[in-house]
Amino acid sequence: MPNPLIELKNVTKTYHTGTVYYNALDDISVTIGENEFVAVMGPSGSGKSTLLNIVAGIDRPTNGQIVVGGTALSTLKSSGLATYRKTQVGIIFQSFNLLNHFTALENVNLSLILQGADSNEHKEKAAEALKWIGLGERLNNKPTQLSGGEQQRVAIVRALVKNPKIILADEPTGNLDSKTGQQIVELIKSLKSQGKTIILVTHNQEIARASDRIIQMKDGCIIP
Amino acid sequence: MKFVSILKLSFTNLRRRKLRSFLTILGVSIAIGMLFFLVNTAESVKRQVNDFVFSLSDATRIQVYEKPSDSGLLPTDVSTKAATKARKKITDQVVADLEKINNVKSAYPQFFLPSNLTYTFSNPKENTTVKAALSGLLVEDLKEIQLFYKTSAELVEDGRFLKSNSEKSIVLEKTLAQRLKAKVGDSINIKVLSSVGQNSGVPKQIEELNLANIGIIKDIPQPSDISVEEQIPHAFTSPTVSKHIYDIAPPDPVDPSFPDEFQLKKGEYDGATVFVDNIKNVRAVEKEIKGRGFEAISVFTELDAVNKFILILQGVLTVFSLVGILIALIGISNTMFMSVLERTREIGILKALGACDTDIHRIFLTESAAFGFLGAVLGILVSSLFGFGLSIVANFFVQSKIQQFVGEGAPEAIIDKIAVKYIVDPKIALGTVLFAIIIAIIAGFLPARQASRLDPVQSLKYE
Repeated sequence: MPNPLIELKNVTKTYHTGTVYYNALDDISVTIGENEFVAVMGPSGSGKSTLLNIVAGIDRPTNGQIVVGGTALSTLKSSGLATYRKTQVGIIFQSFNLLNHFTALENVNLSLILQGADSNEHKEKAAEALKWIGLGERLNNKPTQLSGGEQQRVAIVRALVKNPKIILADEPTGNLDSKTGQQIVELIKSLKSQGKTIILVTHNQEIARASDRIIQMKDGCIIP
Repeated sequence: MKFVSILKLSFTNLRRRKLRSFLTILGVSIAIGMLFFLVNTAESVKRQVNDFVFSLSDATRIQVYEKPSDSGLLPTDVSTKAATKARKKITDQVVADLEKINNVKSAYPQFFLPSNLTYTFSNPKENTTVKAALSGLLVEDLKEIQLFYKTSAELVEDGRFLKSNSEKSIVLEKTLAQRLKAKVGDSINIKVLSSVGQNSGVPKQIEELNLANIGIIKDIPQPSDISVEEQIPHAFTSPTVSKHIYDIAPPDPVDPSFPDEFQLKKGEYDGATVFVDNIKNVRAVEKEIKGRGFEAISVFTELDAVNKFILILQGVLTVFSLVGILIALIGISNTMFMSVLERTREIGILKALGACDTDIHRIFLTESAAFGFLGAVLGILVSSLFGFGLSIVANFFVQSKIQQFVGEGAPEAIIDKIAVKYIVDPKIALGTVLFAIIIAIIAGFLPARQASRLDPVQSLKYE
């Protein structure tokens, strides 16, 4: 087992609709090592995305503790969590979540702008990253002018350009055909060689097999 | 996040919804433009009135009169006998005392030559005789005559104007000089005639003066309803000469309804004119004169009243225009709330990428401020153009009124001085822009706070 990077200790996340409460995560504990590629599988509503959101720092657990690189996220204030998301985590969404009024280059550059970097040098860095992923000709295209696979590649570059330690991918191939999906998986898998720790949520057994470890979830719990 | 990045993002967002942004900016520009127009116009008028008054009168001059009665009536209120207290009359002694006040440069009695007097001018050299009017004029009053001309050089056709208030000489209007065939240096004989006590109706000579003609000046425009034949040409002499006439001339017959204490006796004057050594000391001297029981009016007394009126007017108009501002404020708020709603998912994405609450708050506040800034710039621009346009129209009417009064060919200087000038005050413009930005930020505060507090997980799910 590599050095632990992400540790979830007895994490519970409770949601409620009116007076009805339910646990999206139910007292789960799991450790993910540095440079590990973990796939999280499970049926819809099993808590996969909630787990990912909590690791991403865009949601907080109701109970329990999450420690990333020795820092307990629960001790961080809202601004501290934002800094964590900005510097440590790159998120890839199923629906890409690109800003449609921005070009591919501007979408990638946005990641750097949020870090306080806004110069031609950084713009070039974003352009280089897009060229690396094969979108050199599409820099100034808006998301609506790109195919699903291209959009997801832009989203991957956006997640990577700030050089985070952790890559979180929430069903990144869900909206893509199988061939393009496979290419994206290969791309994500290659990030491991760059020293990234990857957590990938998927329904697809075949994609999950590309990972180092599979975590199976059901009803907010991890199936041993 | 750098401010410049926030600014870029904000303007990108404004461009995304062009029509809505334009309409919001238009609303702000109307309100701010109206506010700017009212404040700037009032300031413009105030400045012009001040400049005009200063250009007309000597700011170091204080007019001194008898104090109004307890009922507030001036000596000119002849129809009443309401005055009760004994008045302090302006006499030679009073004038001498006024001159002794600290910082007073000089003091002169002020009086009207009796209307029963007529003057016959003759030039012995050419054997010409003309009836004309005679006025005593302080050299300081030259400024008032100059209203019609840009410089004294433009006023004087030949020779010079009076240089001292004790000079025993005369200056003739061009028409009078032509009728008398008088040149500069000629000795002019003036017979002073009075109709008082002459039952025959033929005025009796009471004095004969011999004064050197030292200058010929342009005719002072007279109201155009007086025909050229009826216009009496003028000559000007010093106060020393006119006081001599005043001292020897019989007063005008007394109106029996006129209260006794309003009657001027020999050695009493309508008022006095005091000149202060420095404009800074005018208010202090004015106060001192008032303390001695006289009414004192300086240019500041008049300007204070005018400025106070303009200030009140400005205040009232500003309050009215604030209604417009309030509507614009609601407009910005509404636009921003709609924007937050439409961009909920975008806010979620930004937060997921690492934007903190403050970043989101700033992005929305900057957008809101941009509405204020752009609205203010547009408003100031349009209202300034409107102001300039209005001043052109106003000047057209002013010019025609002046021409109606003094006839065609009114001197340019008077038109120039009275012309309405719409001046955009950069300080007011800058203040208005800042004010617009501040109110826009206030309007955008709640929407920005709502945006910054959005839960990223929920926002990302928002369709």
